[in-house]
Amino acid sequence: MTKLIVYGVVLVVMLASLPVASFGSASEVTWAMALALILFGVASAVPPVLRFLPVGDDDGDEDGDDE
Amino acid sequence: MTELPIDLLHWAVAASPIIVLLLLLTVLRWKAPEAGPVGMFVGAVTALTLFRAPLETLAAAVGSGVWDAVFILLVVWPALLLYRVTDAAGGFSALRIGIRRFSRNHLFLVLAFGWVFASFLQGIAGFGTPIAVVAPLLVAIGVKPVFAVVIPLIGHAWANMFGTLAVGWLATLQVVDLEDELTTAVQTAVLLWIPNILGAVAIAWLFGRGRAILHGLPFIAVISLIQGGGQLGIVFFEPILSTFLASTAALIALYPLSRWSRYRERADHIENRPAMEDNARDLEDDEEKAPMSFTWSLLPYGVLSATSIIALAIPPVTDFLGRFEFGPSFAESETGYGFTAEIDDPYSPIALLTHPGTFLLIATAVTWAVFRARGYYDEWQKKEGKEPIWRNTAEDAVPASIAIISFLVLAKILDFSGQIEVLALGIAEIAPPLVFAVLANAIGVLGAFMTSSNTASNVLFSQLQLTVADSEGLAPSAIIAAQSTGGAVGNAIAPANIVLGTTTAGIVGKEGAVLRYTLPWVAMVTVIVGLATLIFV
Repeated sequence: MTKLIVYGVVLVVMLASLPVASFGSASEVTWAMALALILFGVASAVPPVLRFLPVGDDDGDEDGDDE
Repeated sequence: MTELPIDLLHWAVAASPIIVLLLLLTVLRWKAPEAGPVGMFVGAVTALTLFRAPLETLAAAVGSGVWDAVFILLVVWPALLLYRVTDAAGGFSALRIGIRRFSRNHLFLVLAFGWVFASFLQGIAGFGTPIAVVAPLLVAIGVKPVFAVVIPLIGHAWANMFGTLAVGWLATLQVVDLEDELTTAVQTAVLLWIPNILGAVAIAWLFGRGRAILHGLPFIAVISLIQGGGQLGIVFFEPILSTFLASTAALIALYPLSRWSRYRERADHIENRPAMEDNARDLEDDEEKAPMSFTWSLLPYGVLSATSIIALAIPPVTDFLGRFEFGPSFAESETGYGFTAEIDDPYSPIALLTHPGTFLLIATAVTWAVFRARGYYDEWQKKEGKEPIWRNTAEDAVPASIAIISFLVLAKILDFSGQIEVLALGIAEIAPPLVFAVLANAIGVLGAFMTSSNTASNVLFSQLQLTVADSEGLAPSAIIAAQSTGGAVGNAIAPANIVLGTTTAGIVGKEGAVLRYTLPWVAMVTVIVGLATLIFV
């Protein structure tokens, strides 16, 4: 459950960076573009970092193929 | 003035994000939501450093990449919801039992779902719908989950170019000025016949190696004649409907084929079945009870097909529904090399009412209302326990959404910073004319791999392909046909498509395992299509 919540927050932040990036890019507002990059960058960094942290995994096993 | 550096260093650096992504997925076996962002960060670093992209370019790439992902997520979430809503009422159990009466031949069923039905869905709905819908159907009849994703990925690829009412073809006509549209369309249809046949042969081989290919040969020959041959014939008159009509005719042809004893009865002589679960044969004999009839279990697919056809195949309806569209705006910016990617304003508008996600949502709502009214949920829950539909959907869809977003943002970063251009120009630079002709479809594959879209691949590379074809004295129609075929085939390895399948098949994190099967198939088809292109140049 923990991982699902963290991933949920990551997804919301990623999606939120879209209107911010659009506003900043279309209106040439530097701070909005920087904010969008920071939001998206930080959110994107979470899943790879989580791989190395002992956070509850509720979406299946790590390795091994089903074939 | 663009002064993109076309040299080995810049070419290798431009390829590095893709290589890192592939290594993480296939060799190190990272899950897609973990590998996607790493590939994206590598792409961002190479964009900012060696390709001199300003932060404005990166911001526009993030925004447009997320928007492109939203387009796909509008398929992913409703497709998963439809799967859960059907499953929680015992729909898949009923389907399994009903299919047994239709045919007890597993090879027939795998080809029927993974090739014929997936192609039909691509013919009308597209945008990943075939993979998201067919993967759980294959799991329900006893196919191992990894193969349940691999099979529709391979099976539907040929239908990408003229599928979804030829959106890829129409987009290509918008971005390039073709002297001979008919010749280009015909040559494209000829080349697309190759992945059509090889897709079916590969599915049979995955199912049961050589014996399965021999057993399935008449089926493959008949259906391929209808699909590939039908598409080729129709393209002379109406390219827009060519895949839709051909794949619908193939779907209808399943009935007479299922009456043939060869495909009605079990094929026990195919003993080695690597794609099937060990208990798949037991499932045939299982006396399980489902709360609904076979006919009712087909309700979701009937509603999905009917709404798609009404909304997309009747021009006045399509025109009316297509009016309601919207998209964000992004400013274009120039890199240090003077490279500027064109960004339309509004950017890639979404017509919500003609989007396949809407058809999936309608199918979900109708299915839920009808199944509930008929008491199927209560009956199935008494037997199997309560299924939390929303939570199960979220558990699958959230990680898949993160992966898809990061893949598409990576694609936009590489596009806007000129890295994709360098990759394609690098191939064109060193390849003599005939070698370029062979490699032209590989560029299409690259575009589809990055964007998960035949249309996007053609929009990205068609002009470049045409420019190189002109400068090297190659027939433009042949090179665009090769690009289009590559764009179709590349969908089988597109990470976003793979994630769609692993999510609905319930194996999120096994994207690398899927790639290990689809990658060699795509490589083989790319070589054969490349050699076949030489016939036309």
